[in-house]
Amino acid sequence: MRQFKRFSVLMLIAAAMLTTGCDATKILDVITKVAEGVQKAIPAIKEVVNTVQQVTQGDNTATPAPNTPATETPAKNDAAVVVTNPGDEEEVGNNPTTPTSTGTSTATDTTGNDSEAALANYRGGRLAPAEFGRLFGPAAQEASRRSGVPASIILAQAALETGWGSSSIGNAKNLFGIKGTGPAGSVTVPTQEYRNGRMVTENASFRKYNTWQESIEDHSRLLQNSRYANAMRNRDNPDQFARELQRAGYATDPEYASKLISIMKSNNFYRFN
Amino acid sequence: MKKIIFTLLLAIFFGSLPMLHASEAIASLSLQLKGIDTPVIIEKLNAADGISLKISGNSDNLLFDSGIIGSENKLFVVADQATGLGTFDFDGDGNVEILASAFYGPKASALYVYRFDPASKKFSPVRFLNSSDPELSTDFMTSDLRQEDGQDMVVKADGSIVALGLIYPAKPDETPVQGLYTWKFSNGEFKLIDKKAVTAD
Repeated sequence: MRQFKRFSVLMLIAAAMLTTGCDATKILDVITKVAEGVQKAIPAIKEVVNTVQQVTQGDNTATPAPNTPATETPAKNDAAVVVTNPGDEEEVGNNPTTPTSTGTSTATDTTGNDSEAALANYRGGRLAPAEFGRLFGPAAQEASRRSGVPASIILAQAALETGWGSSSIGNAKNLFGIKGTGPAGSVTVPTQEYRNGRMVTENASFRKYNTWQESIEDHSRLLQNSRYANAMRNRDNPDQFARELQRAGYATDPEYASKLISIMKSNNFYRFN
Repeated sequence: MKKIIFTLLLAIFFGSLPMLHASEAIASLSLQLKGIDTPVIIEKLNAADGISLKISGNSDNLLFDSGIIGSENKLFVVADQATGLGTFDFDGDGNVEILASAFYGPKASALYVYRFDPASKKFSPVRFLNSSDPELSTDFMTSDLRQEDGQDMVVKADGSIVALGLIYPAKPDETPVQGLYTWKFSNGEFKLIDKKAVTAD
């Protein structure tokens, strides 16, 4: 195995020299790009390996063990989602679930199932900030674990983009207003476009997702673009992450970073990191 | 079996290496600038790692390399024409500035304005000032409402540049609205002179 590794490294350097005409800067560039590619591919490879392992284990087990978590049983909807009207915000119960990142007890699993069920039952509509955090917090944490994008940033961006859930582009479950075609196709909605100095209403296609989690995962994946590398380098500092998003040109609004930071602070979304 | 997989991986690896550096010119123009004897060639390139701009002079000597400015080509409008590469003399010094745009996502595109300094004979991007936090000033203008026809980033005849973009509310109790951000060149940089929400006629 060690020999194989040495051989791979040698081949990589040789290939880099061949394709770059022995230019040291370009060689480093090529090596960096290949390394980045491998690094990006590792989570996907792990996922495939895990899936294969699960399938293999499933094939070897004729009947599920009695204490196997019932992940395929539909979870009961104890965590009902309260969709509020703009004027009703203060009337909604303030019951944020404290996130647990390492819990393995049955109680934690139940909470996780409830969170997923609640999110699955959410059909869009404005939420109270506390409810928004409680509902989307676990999904943001999961996406954060995979991508490195701070959960507090994910929540603040989704809140700002949708007005606490009030606008997620019809039934597209699109939390970040991303155009194009998503895993569930696209939704065409009337939108305003700029034509010859004036605004006109035209149809535009937005990405449609099967689940809210998909929307969050997709957005986190898009932030892996090298454009946002400085932001990703500040994954442990959400405020700086927001500023680096702004500096990289995530949004037109010059106040975008300060608005994100304001949302994270006023709702203590940092607790989800 | 392992040998086959190993050989396949090597083949994929070596096969993809040339693609890392292969690039095609998606737009180009030739300019005569004050301060340089021979015309310069500006090429907008599309490679596997993204869009970049290269400016070369006589004998193909490289005068400027923008680095990657985005992942996809993008149009903007100048002189009522949609293009991905253009020019405009913002500072009125007789040397045009070079304009190039690219999309990088998830929603945003950038328009870069490169200026030539005859004294140093160097090209550099013109800054777009963020007056509320100068540290967040950028080397490009951003539009986060992509329009394929390029009308989300328009250079007007008076030298102002208009970007279509979302205006986010101070608190997210309301949803963001579409707006027009107008930038004007002044004292070596672009300053935001107007921001207004817009609605369809």
